[in-house]
Amino acid sequence: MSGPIITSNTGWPTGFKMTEVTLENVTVEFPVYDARRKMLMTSLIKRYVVGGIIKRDQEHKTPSVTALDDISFSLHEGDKLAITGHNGAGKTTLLRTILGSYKPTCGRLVTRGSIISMVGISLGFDPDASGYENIFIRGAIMGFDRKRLRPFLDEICDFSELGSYIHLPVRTYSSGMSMRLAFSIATTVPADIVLLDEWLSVGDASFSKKAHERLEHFIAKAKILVLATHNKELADKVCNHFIEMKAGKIISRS
Amino acid sequence: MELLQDLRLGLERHYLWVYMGWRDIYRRYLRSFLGPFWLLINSLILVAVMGPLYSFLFKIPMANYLIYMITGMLTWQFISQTFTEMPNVYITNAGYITDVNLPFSVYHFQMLWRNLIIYGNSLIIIIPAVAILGHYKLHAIVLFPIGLLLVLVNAFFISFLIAAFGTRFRDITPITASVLQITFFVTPIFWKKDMVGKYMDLINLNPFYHMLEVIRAPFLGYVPEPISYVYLTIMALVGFLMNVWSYHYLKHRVAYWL
Repeated sequence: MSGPIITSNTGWPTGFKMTEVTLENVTVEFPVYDARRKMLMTSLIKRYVVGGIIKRDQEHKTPSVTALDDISFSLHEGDKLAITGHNGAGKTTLLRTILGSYKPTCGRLVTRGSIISMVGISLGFDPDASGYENIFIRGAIMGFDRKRLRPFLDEICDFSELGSYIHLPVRTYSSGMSMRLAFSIATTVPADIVLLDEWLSVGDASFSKKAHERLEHFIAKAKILVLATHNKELADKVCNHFIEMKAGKIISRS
Repeated sequence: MELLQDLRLGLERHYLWVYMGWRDIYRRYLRSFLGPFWLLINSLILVAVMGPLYSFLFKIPMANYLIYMITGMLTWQFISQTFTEMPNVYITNAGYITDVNLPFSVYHFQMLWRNLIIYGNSLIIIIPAVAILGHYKLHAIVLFPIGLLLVLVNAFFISFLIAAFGTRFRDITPITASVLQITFFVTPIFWKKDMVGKYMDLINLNPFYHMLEVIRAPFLGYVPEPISYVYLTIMALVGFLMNVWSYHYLKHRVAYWL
């Protein structure tokens, strides 16, 4: 049996002495239900009505995709892990598993400390609400009520460089502008463990440089970083542990 | 217990689902002129047409019947809309489940809160209607919040179960819709319970009757029968225990079923 010990997946360092991410033989298998199997009737019929099919069903089972295959590693304070690999190697699934969204089908996962996932940082953005309102929406999703967010407001607005646009609905923004806002919100409140799916690069050249610095600064405040990326050069620069994945397996580590 | 832990974390995040519930409504009706009042208008037209007809068919005085039907239809709309949305609670929040991993109760609180706001809206019609046409009594009215709370608690636990199964089996959504459609006719919403004579006891088996009764009866000026409260309390308890038992299993599979 397994399960994350701490599930306070909000930002804000918790002050735990021992921040930790440990995976022991973690395997994640996705069942693939085709349209027919997903229907209740076929499932009921197969199970209770047609006797013969049950056996066939057990022999073949629901086909499944093994997204993570026997993954083990342990991270402690100061560890910055880079996961590299091609598309479909299981990088994002691994991040989601650490976050606690997917419970390992086999193996054990232990996480201690607050986790923040930088996957989908504009999830929940309401195009009809102003940028300012969206700061509160995203804040609430990340675990902060209005009161806790207030001290950061000016800083977020300033950094995003939206000026008076901040009071207009987000649907009037260019995609670059709304990314800048999402980025500014996401990198405001630190956490013990940061999960990053690809290095976030936003905006034009000048903003991108500023954003890069801010992200570095943000990561420096985290105790553990897990970065999934294609960019090996960047991984070398930022991280001190490396894993290369292929088809859900770790093929090399250093 | 994992379920209670989830509930506690969900309640801590009240600012999230309260806000998101409001936003859901705001977005749904943003550019429509009458907004959520459209729902009211639908029911009002139905009442305006069916009210006189059925009060004639059933030979009930018009004022009595109209108030019976208005409270019944609007309350039923609240209950049935809530149940209709249950199978999709996780499906519509797929992104949050995989990428943010919020406590699951947040999604259910948000759905219930949204429907509660809409019901609150229909009180704009119910309250004046009761004041003008009804024979309300104070000691009955105070039972309204208790009844509403009892229905919400029940809906919360049922939602946990239906949402999980609705994610795994996508047919649950249409099944729920057709069950509710049938329920509308077999529940005393626009006809009265005592009209069925000797089969009155059968109606006591219908959980939707009790949910309707504990909310509606206070408006009609009488105290619901104790059996309704007993029925709903037992149902809430059973719902709670079923969730205690299934929470761990379902919680960790929902993400795979999305």
